[in-house]
Amino acid sequence: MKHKINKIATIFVASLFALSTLGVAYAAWTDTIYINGSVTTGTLEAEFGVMPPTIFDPFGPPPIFPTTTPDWNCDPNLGFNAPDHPHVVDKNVGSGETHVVDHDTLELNIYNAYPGYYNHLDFWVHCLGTIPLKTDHVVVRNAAGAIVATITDNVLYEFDINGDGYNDMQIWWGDDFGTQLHYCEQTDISFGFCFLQPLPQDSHITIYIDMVCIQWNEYQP
Amino acid sequence: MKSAKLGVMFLVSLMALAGTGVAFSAWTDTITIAGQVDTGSVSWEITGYSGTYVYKDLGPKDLDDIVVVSQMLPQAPDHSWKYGIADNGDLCYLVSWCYASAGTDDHNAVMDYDNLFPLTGVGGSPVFCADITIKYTGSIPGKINNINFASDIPGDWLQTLINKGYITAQYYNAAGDKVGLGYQLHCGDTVTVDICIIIPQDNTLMSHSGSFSASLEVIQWNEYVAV
Repeated sequence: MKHKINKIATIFVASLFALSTLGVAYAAWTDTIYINGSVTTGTLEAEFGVMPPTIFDPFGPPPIFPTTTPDWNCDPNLGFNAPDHPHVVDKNVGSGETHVVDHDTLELNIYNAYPGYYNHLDFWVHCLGTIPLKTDHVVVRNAAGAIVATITDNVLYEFDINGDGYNDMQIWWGDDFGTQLHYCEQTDISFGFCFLQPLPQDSHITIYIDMVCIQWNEYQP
Repeated sequence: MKSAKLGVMFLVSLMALAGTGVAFSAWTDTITIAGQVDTGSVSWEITGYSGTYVYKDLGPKDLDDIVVVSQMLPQAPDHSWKYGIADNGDLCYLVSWCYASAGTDDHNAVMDYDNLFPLTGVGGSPVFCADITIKYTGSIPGKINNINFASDIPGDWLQTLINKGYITAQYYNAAGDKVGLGYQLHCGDTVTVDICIIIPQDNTLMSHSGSFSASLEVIQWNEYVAV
């Protein structure tokens, strides 16, 4: 008798497993709606180079003197902090050159610089992303790529460009940050700079300017 | 031996009598019941579509107003235009948009999200939501049971967003109150389902495209198990 019960139980359990393979027949009633979604994200992108950058004093010697393209100077010790600086001088000694390395990098080379030498860089930032942007801040890097200054306002910045421990360069940023650009718009940005007395002799100065832009709705003035 | 012979005769007699039919059955009478059974249904269908349009206010440049418009549209909007007028009269520029539209039948919808970027609303709430309105048509009460998301390309960036909870569903009843899974629907009730996407602040998520599928299930109310 006991064997018979076990046999029946085995058949019952086997039946349960077999029925379970029939699927929803024993599940709850349901109905399902299906959604197919496609997603694309936008692009935040700015670049240099639609309009070429220009530098105020690209004229190097000769001649040094007399010249029709004289240098401009700041105070060698105080830079822009001295009154009435910069001002024109009577000699043509230093010069500058700038070019776009790639869409995101602007290279500035200064030749025969000396304490007090002043120049001015003008460049354009072009928006080619699909998301509106704002200019947010500028990072200045030296030839080795090290960050020497982070510029967030149109005020005077003084920093050590060659890593010798002494501040030898000043930048006076000329434009407000927060300029808003939509797709295909561009804006003109410029800044003046001068060198201070600790600047070492016979050195070649290269600086890189990183213009950092941010999506317009995340900008914090 | 004799009893065995009798047994055989008895069985043969039984089979012979069985062949003669009811003549030897008991008297009977039968009442017949004709039963009809109609089963109910658990069903719903999509009846409406809407989307979200994010405009940038082109008023004075120092105004950073983001104008978010969500509206019911009978069909996919025409995006050949990019400008509109905000409530304050300023010209607006359409930056991003998402909308739902009809699929192959009333159980399928298509949702498109274009030019998304990191943007959240008050309290980090999602902004980019495409919406469908679903009408419950079943005769048996149902409850919203579950929704499952899956990127069409396993393991891609969209699947990562799904896994991290950046793609979510939000449910609103006809009164506009927020409801959730387990919300009960009777025949004729409607519920609006927003499928919302948040793009986190991550530069690697620029210029991406992908697709996902979602399945939204309603279950008979008495079988719903809260999770």
